[in-house]
Amino acid sequence: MISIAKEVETDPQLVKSAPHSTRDQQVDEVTAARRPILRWKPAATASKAAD
Amino acid sequence: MDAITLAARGRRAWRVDRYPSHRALLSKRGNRAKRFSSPIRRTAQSRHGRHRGYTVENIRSNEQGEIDLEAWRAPSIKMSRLDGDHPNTIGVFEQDIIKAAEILHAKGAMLYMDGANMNALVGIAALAIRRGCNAHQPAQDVLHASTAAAAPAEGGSCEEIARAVPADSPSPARRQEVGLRLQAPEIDRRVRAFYGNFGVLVRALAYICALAARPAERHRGCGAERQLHPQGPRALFRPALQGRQQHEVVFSDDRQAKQGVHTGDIAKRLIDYGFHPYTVSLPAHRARRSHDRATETESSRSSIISSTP
Repeated sequence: MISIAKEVETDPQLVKSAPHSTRDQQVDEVTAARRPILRWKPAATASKAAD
Repeated sequence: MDAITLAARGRRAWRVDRYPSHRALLSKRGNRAKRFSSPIRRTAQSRHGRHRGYTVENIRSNEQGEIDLEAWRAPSIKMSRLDGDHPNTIGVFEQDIIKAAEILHAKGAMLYMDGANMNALVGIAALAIRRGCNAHQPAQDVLHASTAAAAPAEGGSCEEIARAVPADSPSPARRQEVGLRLQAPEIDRRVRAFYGNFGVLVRALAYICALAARPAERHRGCGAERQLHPQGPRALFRPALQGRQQHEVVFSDDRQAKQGVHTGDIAKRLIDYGFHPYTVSLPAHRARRSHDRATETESSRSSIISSTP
């Protein structure tokens, strides 16, 4: 928390764009809530569903 | 514990099931009040809506985030029960909980003390005596099995309350036995017994034995006795409430918001550091609060690390 507080002062964009260590970064939480994809599908199909 | 119930299928279920049980008790006492009260914190909004025919009446807390006794004493406040966390939702240990219980009992109401927050008190405080009830109001505790070591204490006799829950331990005279009773004389028909929590009850017992049996060791590491959170974060993140918060703490992102960074961003950044983020959007909280809860089962040293996620 101390490190993050310092980052906020020196590089706020680093914090605003977190997380950086995960496969997915900034998840669209509003869309995820309104149009949840609750079932896994093969990549091609899933991509189409996400669209 | 004078009585233990396995009635609820889960913590949430217990939060619902308790209402008809209480209403059955209170109706017998002649208390027909249709409302219960929930302290509303300076930094939190009540999570309660309408529950099983009861209307929630929120009573504001004082500037220290504690219950306001004067508000409770007001003749206009007619309540059937007060739901309270102790330590409360924002981590403050209520200083006047005994007086609060006395006020409630004088009004013919009951005090329901919820829930997981009480982990911080296991092995340290005799809740039934010090908190929920006292000598003139026979004490009883209910251990809710699905929240290990939670010990809600309610104003009322053990025997009285035990008649309204579907499963309980036998009378204190037969404490060596534990059995399930699927029906109770005054049970509300909507409350069902559920014996599937037995394994959780065993874990709860193990939890209590492990911690309560070593009060000295626990005393050093528990949330009740240590100042939560190192001073470093406190200097950088403004606590949303001034005063001593221990079990939990609520921070404001006022300082970071000037840089365009909000508490949700900080929570996500914590993931990069390998920590599970703190609670950001507890429904009870206003926007832009971060809610940190330390585990009570860790030592002071390790909890300094674990308290920040």
